[in-house]
Amino acid sequence: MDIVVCVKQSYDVQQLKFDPSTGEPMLAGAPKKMSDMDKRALEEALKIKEASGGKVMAVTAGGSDVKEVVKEIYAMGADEVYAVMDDALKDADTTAIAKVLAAAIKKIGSYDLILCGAASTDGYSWQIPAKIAANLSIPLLPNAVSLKVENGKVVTESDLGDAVYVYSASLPVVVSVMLEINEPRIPKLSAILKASRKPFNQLSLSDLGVEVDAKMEVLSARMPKVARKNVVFDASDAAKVDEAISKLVEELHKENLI
Amino acid sequence: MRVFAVAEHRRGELNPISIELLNLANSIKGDGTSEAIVIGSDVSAYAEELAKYADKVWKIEDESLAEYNPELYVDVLMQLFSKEKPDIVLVGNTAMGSEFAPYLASKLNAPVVTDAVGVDVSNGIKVSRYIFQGKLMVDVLLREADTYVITIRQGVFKEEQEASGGIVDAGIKPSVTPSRQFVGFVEPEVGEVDISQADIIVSVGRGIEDASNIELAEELASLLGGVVAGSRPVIDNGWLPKDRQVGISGKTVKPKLYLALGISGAFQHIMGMKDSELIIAVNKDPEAPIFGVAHYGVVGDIFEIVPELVEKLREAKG
Ligand SMILES: Cc1cc2nc3c(=O)[nH]c(=O)nc-3n(C[C@H](O)[C@H](O)[C@H](O)COP(=O)(O)OP(=O)(O)OC[C@H]3O[C@@H](n4cnc5c(N)ncnc54)[C@H](O)[C@@H]3O)c2cc1C
Repeated sequence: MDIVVCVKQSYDVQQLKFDPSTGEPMLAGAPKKMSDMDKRALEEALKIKEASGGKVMAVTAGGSDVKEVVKEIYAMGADEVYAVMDDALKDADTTAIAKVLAAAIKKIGSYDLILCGAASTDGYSWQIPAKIAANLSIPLLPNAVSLKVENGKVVTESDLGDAVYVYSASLPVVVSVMLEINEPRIPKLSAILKASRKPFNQLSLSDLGVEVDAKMEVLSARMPKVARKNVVFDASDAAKVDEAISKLVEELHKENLI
Repeated sequence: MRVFAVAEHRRGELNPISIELLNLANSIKGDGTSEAIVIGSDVSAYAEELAKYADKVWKIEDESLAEYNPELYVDVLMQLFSKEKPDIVLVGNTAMGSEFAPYLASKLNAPVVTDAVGVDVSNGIKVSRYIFQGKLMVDVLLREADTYVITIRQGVFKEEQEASGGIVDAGIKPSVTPSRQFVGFVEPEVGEVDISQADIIVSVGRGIEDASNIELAEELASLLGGVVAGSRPVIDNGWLPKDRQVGISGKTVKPKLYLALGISGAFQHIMGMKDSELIIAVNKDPEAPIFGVAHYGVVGDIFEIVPELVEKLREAKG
């Protein structure tokens, strides 16, 4: 079975710093990493390959810094990586990225199962899987928390928030995966070292015949403000615990919670 | 403007997001109309409810539409939109909505923004949304287009505007056979607690250290008449079941009281509880970000504070 995994090099949101005066994120040089759910998608692909054979290919799209994620993809164990690199993709919106990924998948040509993370760690728009499916005119089984492939059919348990739905469809399909689906492997040092020497397939937008036109423009970005009354009781040493708790219980009384 | 809202229902209940979409539609339609669309096998009851908040309600009924399917939804919506041209299509940012909205937008060749918390139509279409898992709010200006698709975060547009619309049967039937089959539901285990419905939540984080300490939280919760929930590491460690997880990959909760014990306040957690009416955090680290969203904070050790609090509450109860 030919499995294609879509992987995003996303900002490492945990480590993102903000300019205290403007509240804007300091994106220049901010650390990046493989998007969390995409990592699960890759892990799932590798597991399927280990269980029943096949080939695991990964596609990524972005600016030239996607090279970093290519190494990570190889280190985990993918057979082939295709990277669409173009500065125009740095700020591209989801419509454009999905078009590019779908075009790259078509270019690869043979695919049975396409796996992606349900949403990226940074943008978190939940749009890419459905848009890839729409571009390729194949079904999407969304938000998988479990995945089985049997006799040309895919069955997922899909967490749609209000309930877990069981879906099935015949290959080829796109499956988007949630964090719960598996625990991704941590690559061995030797694999990491080997990965940096592996060649990858570089594709340009003109190779794919895709043009990127933005449908939207970001006007401003800022930290959301939370206004809170924020009363803090200090109970950091044992002597103060009693007083702090009395005050707390008093507040709970006032709010009619006890 | 003609603003359409695609209603959502599951297992016999109208999702409140449907009304919230109409609240927003009414506030941005100007001298246009707010129009609800409800799709299913028998949607009369939903249509009547929706008509209280919309200028018009479109019914699309067919046996095959009983369960949500994105291919069928987009197919019937495209049939409707080929005759009734929308300026804006609003969809709930639920798992269902965020799945079919991009499909629909691809077919309409429309720009789509997901998870909007603000929509401003005074000067072009400007949408506010969070990115970076809630760390950052962005304003996005949509390029001029015939139709826009926007998915709306749940619980934001609650202010109701009454209307009294007529109900119209659109007379549309699906014209495709879906390639994806709905097989059934994975029924949740019985005896489960639904934390999203609880008024009082005692939530524990990694600071609780061990499964055996959950008891402490249980005791406090039972005294307060609440339930115990947790942050992700607590669930990942198997100290609490998955359906007790609060946060972006767990449940969103809005109780009257949210008591956070030994939770640092990562934004993935905060996104799931920040709208609670009263937030009290206990953490030994005075710099813990949880104090940024807490109304009351106690800087201290949960293993000293919680037993003492339990005792005080017992006394108070007599
Ligand atoms: C894609 C993604 C999705 C995620 N989704 C979620 C989600 O849905 N929900 C979620 O919760 N997390 C989620 N996370 C994880 C999140 O980033 C944090 O790692 C997690 O919330 C931290 O949990 P915590 O606060 O319990 O643990 P920690 O961050 O380790 O904090 C423990 C806290 O306890 C305090 N503490 C320790 N001992 C004591 C004591 N004796 N007394 C008082 N205080 C004490 C410490 O000072 C510390 O602040 C997600 C992460 C990713 C990448």
